[in-house]
Amino acid sequence: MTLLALQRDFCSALSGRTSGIPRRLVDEGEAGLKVYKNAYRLRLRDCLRETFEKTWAWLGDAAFDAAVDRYIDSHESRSWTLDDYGDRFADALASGLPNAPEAAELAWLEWAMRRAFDGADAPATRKTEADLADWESAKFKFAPTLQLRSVTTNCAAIWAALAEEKTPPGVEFLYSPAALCVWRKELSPSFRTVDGVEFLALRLAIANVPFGEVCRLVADGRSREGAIALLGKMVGRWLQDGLLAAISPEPDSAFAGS
Amino acid sequence: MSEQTIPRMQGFGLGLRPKHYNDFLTREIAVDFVEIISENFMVAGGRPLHVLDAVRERHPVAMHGVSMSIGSADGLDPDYLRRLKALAERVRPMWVSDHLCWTAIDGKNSHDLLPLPYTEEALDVVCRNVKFAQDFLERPLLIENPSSYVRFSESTMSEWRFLTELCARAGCYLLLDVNNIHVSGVNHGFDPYAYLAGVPMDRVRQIHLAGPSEGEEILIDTHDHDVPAPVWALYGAVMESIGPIATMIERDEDIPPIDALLSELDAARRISKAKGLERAA
Repeated sequence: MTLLALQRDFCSALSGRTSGIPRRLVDEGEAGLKVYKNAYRLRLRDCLRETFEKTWAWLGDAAFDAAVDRYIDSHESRSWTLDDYGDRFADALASGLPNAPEAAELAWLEWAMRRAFDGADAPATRKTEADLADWESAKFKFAPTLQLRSVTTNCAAIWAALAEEKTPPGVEFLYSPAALCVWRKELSPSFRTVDGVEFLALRLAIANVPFGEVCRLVADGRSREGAIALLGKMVGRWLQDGLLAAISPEPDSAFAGS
Repeated sequence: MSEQTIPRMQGFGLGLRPKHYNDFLTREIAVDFVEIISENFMVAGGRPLHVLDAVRERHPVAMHGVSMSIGSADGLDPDYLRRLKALAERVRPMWVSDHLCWTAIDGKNSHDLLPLPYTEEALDVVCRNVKFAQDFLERPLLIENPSSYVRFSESTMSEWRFLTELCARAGCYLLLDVNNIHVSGVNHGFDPYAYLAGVPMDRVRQIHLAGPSEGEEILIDTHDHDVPAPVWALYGAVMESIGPIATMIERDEDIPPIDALLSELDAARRISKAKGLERAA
């Protein structure tokens, strides 16, 4: 058997599948092979427990570990870094626990915060609203760590309570459309809940739509002045939060595709 | 690449672990170098690289990897190598090291340091991969001897002969983990001093010291205990053989306060100094 075949067979053994590896080991290597097999599963489980610490606390050991077991059985690690292993865990919770949507949303929030922690650097723009002469054509370049996701539950309040080691609130469904906005402010991952209007404005601005057009698209019955005032307030918050890496008047080729 | 050499360096260091980030950023830590786990810093940005840059301003840094998978029969991951090279260009390390093992095959990663059969075929694979990595990174590598828990019946040579052949054919150097020699010696019943006599000591550029755990039937390389007496004895033998060389305490789990590790490092200093005096006598 070649080295390639041996390594494929060894991987099968780690996953608990039948393999010819024991026959190829001195004294069948029972105790040693057990160490590798146990370590493989424990390493993946510990990675998920660490990454999704609050989801684990929310679901409890039994439900979380059952979800972890299902995930490990159906997801091989395909990256050189273990940090990537949980990339589909929130989706797996959404399909595995359809009656607990807050769990998948909480897991997504933890994953996004984890990604933001060591995501790409981009200093926040020093511009202020007063520096912007041409709001109509302004375009925005956001922090590269920015991630958005619509949510249906109070997962943010659950996260905050667990972070402070307080008893989390019960699940509540949100009456109005809302989203989580996650990014890194300087060195600290941050998040806040945004309403449906700001969620739409953010998605349009991320898609490189000029500010004037964003105002028109989100006006929703407001006067032009009212929409500009509302969006202006949002942009002020984006600046304050360090969400914006740059603001540019149109046209600016550097912003193409941002 | 083949023209490059790594000179011998003396000194005593510690691994940079998150628990000690604040110590390294706010205190003078009496070490001659710091070793990082490369993968912890092969990230786009944020706090890890912020810490690393600050530590690098104060200390020389050695890069130690766990994911190159130098023994993979299907070759190395180009994305991994690109990121490793980018980190090396940022850090300008003393050297870059990884383990004699494999971690992935067909893109599936075990995230473990898995054992190789010590055969001519495996030697060819590892030599090819080491040469490729060295050419890509434009620097020689240090390869660390692993702890292992199984042996393959088809092995035709000892681990120390495998490492000797590897250094000769690929031009790499050795990171000698004395704890790993102890662990594998106990698990596989070989004499660790025969191991030391068998490896090319002139290729050793760094020493790791650590403590294993007692498994049910075998020793496990957990790096979560103080350095035990048999490992100190082996370290003394290495110092007798080659004299002072870059040495560090490698603690990966159950990490104590940094002052405890500095005290343990002082023990290494004393052994190195005493054996050095014996060599000089």
